[in-house]
Amino acid sequence: MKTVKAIGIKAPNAAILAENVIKNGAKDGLIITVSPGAEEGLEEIAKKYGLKYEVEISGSEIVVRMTKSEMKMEELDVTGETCPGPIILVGGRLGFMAIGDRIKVTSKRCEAIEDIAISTPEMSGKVVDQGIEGEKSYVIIEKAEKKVAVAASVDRDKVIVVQSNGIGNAERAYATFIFSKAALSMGKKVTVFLLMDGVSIAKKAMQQL
Amino acid sequence: MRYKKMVKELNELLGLKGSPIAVKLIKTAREIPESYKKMNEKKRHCEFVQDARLEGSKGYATSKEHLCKGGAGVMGIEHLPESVATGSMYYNLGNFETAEGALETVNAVPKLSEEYYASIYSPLESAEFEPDVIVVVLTPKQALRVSQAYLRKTGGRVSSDYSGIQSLCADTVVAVKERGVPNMTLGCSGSRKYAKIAEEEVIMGIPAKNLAEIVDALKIFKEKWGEL
Repeated sequence: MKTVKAIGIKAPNAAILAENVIKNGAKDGLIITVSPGAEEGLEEIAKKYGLKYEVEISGSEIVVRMTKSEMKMEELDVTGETCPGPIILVGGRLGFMAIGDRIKVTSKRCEAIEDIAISTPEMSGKVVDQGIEGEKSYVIIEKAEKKVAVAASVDRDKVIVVQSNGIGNAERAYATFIFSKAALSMGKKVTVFLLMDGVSIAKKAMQQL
Repeated sequence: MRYKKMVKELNELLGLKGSPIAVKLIKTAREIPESYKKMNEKKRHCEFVQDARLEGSKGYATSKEHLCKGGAGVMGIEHLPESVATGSMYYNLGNFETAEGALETVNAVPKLSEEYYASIYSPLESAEFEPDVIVVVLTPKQALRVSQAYLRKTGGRVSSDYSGIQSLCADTVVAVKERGVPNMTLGCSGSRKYAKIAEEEVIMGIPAKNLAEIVDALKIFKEKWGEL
């Protein structure tokens, strides 16, 4: 879905801009972020194009969603998956979703849903709703734009895993790849640095031992 | 070269000075068309645009070739310098009465959230890539005709926004790439001083997908109105 950041553009220009964006190709809807007060007139635009209108206050910004009412939502049941399986699965799905698309993740284990909800911002997602339905917990996640790191902030896009365990302690060596896979599914660039006995797992044919 | 005919017609209709400029932001070096070389001189984005427009130059610029770090920063080619991101540079230059006003303005400048490797430039008529944005430098009357042409099909109003800083980068490339609609700007101190955008010129960024309709509308205007 088309997303536009229109901070600082006052009403009614934000509405004029939103209508132009919709008319010029964003037929499935638009997520527009505006400054407080600039949302004036946007509801009329949504009505004019038959779009559902939702407003959310996000800090000092107003996020307006103008979406098709019949927007379909993907569902994913992670019941039975063990940590970090649910996060890997959700991260993998989010990686292929377009900004604004939503996914409902369910599980019989509320802890798994809680973990996913906590990890969601790191996976370029946003928790829209979370609760319990019958015997399952659920979280609804919307694919969001990746936050831009400003110069003064810490950019946590890269992960390095230092591996000192090798074939002499294979169970611990295995954990490195679980962490790495979880980080990859969260969109991180992962480097595994092997040292000491860790080097042994990179030697050809050692994985067959 | 699919734009060659359109540019010829646009020039005949409006009498442009120089070429419309094709601008594209790329994520990897693999996306650079074969004959395109790295810019051999460090310059600002607005200067690269003017060079393509007036001298027909082509090439690409990574963060190393971008002299204006603010321009490269909003285009996602590198991180914004802190003095630009916080507005302190503009506050110290005297653009704003308060630091808060400066911060509010820089926060509102369009910025791309994704990272890019380089920006590519070419006169549109000979571009060997599909541009993200077509930048045109126009007189106000030419900008009027382009605005009228853009509105001919579906009507409405044109909304353009700018803040007098980071113009050819943020206003005509980033805003247009992100929103998918045209934007007009009056330039900024840098583009007027270094890129020599003339006093009688304004700048528009146009999504490539809209150019054909704009040219068609201008042809109709010429038929109906005579000279444009």
